[in-house]
Amino acid sequence: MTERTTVSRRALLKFGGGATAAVALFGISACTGDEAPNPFGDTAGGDPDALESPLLAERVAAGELPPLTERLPVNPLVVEPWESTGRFGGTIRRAQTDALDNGILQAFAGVGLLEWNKAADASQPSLAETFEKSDDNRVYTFVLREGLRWSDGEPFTSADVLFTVDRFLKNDVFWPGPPFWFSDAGQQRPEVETPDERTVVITFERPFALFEKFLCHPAVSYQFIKPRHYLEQFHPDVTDRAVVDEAASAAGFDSWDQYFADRDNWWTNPERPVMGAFMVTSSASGGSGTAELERNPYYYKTDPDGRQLPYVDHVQVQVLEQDALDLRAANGDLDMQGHFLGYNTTQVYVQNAESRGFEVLRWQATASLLSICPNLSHQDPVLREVLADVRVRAALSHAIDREEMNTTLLGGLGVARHPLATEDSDYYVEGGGQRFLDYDVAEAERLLDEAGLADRNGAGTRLLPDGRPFELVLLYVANDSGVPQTDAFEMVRRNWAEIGVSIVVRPVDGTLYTELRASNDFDLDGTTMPENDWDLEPVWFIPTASNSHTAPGYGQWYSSGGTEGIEPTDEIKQLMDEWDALRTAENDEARIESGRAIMRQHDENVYAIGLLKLPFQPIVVNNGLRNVRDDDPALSFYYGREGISKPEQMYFSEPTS
Amino acid sequence: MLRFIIMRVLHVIPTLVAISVIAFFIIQLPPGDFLTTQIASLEAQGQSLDPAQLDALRARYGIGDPFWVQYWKWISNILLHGDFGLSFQFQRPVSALIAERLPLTLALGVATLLFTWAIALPAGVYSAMKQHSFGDYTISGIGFIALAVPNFLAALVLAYLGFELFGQSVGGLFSPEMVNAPWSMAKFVDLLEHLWIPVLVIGLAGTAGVIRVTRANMLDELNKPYVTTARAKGLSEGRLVTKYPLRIAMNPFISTAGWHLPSLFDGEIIVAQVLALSTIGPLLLTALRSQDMYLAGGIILIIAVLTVIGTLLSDILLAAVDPRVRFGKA
Repeated sequence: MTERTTVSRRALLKFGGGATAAVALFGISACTGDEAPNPFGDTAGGDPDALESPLLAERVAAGELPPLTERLPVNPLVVEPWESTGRFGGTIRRAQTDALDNGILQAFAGVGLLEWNKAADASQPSLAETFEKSDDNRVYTFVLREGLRWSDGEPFTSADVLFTVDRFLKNDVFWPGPPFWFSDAGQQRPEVETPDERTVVITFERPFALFEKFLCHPAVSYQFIKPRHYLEQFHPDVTDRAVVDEAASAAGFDSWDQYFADRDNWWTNPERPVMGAFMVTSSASGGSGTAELERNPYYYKTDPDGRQLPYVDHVQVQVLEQDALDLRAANGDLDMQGHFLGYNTTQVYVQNAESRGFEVLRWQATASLLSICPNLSHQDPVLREVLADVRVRAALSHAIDREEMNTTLLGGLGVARHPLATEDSDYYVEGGGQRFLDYDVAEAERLLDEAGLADRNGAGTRLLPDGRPFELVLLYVANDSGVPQTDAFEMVRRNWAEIGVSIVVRPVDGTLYTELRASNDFDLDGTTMPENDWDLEPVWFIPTASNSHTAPGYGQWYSSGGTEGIEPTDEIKQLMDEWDALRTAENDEARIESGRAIMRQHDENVYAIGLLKLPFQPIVVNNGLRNVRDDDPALSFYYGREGISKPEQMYFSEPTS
Repeated sequence: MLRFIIMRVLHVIPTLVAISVIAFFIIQLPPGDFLTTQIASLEAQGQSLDPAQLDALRARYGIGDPFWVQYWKWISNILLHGDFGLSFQFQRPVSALIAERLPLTLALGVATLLFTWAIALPAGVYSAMKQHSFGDYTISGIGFIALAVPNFLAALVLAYLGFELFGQSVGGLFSPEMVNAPWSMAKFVDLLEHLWIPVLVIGLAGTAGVIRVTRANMLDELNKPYVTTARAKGLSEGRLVTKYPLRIAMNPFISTAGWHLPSLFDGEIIVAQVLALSTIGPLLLTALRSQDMYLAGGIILIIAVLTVIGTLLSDILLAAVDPRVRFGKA
């Protein structure tokens, strides 16, 4: 590409014409041709009894890697395969729409001291060999596996965890306030002690009931695992400040913490050692827009026969626009993908599945329940009072014809309910989420009349107590990959007009939506909501900060300790008290009891009016890829999405590379 | 002539300053900043950003600074150090991001330009010589249809046809196997296999204009006395046309050559976006959408500079060809 030759203009024109013709011809002939040769070489499969991938065996033979026994910990984590033990090799092809989203790592290469068990309802030790917590949820003790190593071969010890906590999680440049997943209810970060190379003791001042869950959460767990030996050189507490600053500015960064964050980014910096199943060898933010991941030769998990996982050698992630991604999925070009696929394109996938050699599985869709959250902390005191009245919210809910909406938008497959924990959750309350669901205009009218909104103006719109018409703006981000929101909200608008409540449906850009919400400047928030595991991300259910979906004004009051925002009503304060009780519970029974109390309060008060929930989330899986869960696990951020299927034990029945 | 060039170059400087301020200002107009966009996209995925972390990021990125401080930091680094700053979202120098995508962007731009000319010039000449014939109407008809169909739609249709008829991987300039492979003959062939769709889509749209201009210019020339004379003297029709009328008809293309500079650089944003090409256009679009202002500002600045330089070149070229231009107010 860089060579330069001198050609006359005429020759260039001739060549141009020829090249164009060649392009056209190649283009057409290429489409009918066979698949392109594989650049990864043919090291597939190999000896079925081998304990390590042929890819690594070659490197051991060449003297580039120590033998397998020296790379595995004394006591590796044994993963039970979903169907059967597998064979080595192959490349899992995936795609995503955003070059910076590192969700693939959380799904395919997640790592932590603990991890979710297969059912994703409890923790199991991971990098830690054993884990204990004190009876009051204050002291957490981990013993690491012996002989763990980073992907570059350096030992992983308790010093790495200590470095992460002291130099990163407790550093005020990175965290001006404590992260919510690493501080107790008193906003205090814990003390960490490392009595020996393998033991880590984390002690909170007050009980922190959610810490164990957070340690399983793949988006949190990896933040405790940083390579001290690599990152030390970028940290001024350890390395000379002048050296660190100079390196940062040489790399084009304004300050050392920018450079540190960049070097620490396991998705964009291939040099950073990792502990997960795969390591990035070429980044998606590079010129090709495609990330390549390769197996970590020091990965600490094996199958029951002692073969080192993962079975698959490579993962490739292409960054594509949504349309191109959908077509690729429908073409069988993606080997295992659920995240980024829309429910609405399921039909296209199913139509092409058989002829293009893939299968469409149905997992549970989480955060797919479309809801309307009235702003309980509205800036306007009159509207605030009206929306705080449960009769008004119940009336609004009764006035929605969910059956018609379901038939029209989801072919009758959708589920009508309010957003509350489901049977799968500890926080489930009997019959929760079913109140005020039936379409009953007369009841809605009666409730509104009773709530003091009986008067109407000439247009038939009800009047607020101060005489203004009851008109609201419904704010939402247009995104039709789930329930077609615009259509659904339009139906709500017509339904509510019948009972004299007038709304304007206002789709906005995601940025503006976030801004308006944070500044407490909206009437109704049309949002999709998670139902389970809300304790890990309470913004939808408890106003804990100004990013709350139900009451940002109260949230600000809560997070600022009462100095800013709007003072909540006693009812909302009760919700906040229960939340505090949940966070500081000394045992699981107390935590679950508080959680159920929160759910009950939501159930009785419909703070969020549920519309419809998607029946499932489509997952496309190459026919040749085995050990992918075919029951219906949840495709949830809290379980690392596809990670719930433990990707390290997936294998190709006939690996091609 | 020298005076003309100097005056023209002097005019360029205030234009560039104004463009850079306006570009940077417009990028900052939408509500929120890069971090709000990040929060929005995190929320869309079912998670929220810790308020503490948010404050740290604001400080790290210097997002709280007032407009003029940010602008001055940006422009002075470019002028004094050639440093376009750091992209918020990629956490990499803007210049490196652009440089990585430049070769393929230029390849696409040049291939498209050649394709357009290779199709349009002969078609225009033919159209003029056989005016009001069946061929003329056919060419004009196809040209107008190509012009009228929106580019992104044509791209989607072709991508869908590629998928439906040939089972081709949609999107990108390379097959998945080849995308990170080192350059080789196989990779080059793979590039050609994917390049034809965008070249066809972008090229066809530009063809109609070139056909019409060529046709009109040729028609002007073909009836002039010198053509009649040459024909009377028995010059063969092919030689006759290429020798003089075609040369003159080419003039508009030569004098507007400079304008192709920016279009070579941005690589047709919308088509590239639809087809997920790793060119500069989609980079600009993502930067604008996520309010990554140094990246967006850098690309817009370069496009603006190229436009100004292209215009300058065209003007100088025109002045060289046509002396009347030089004596006007430059």
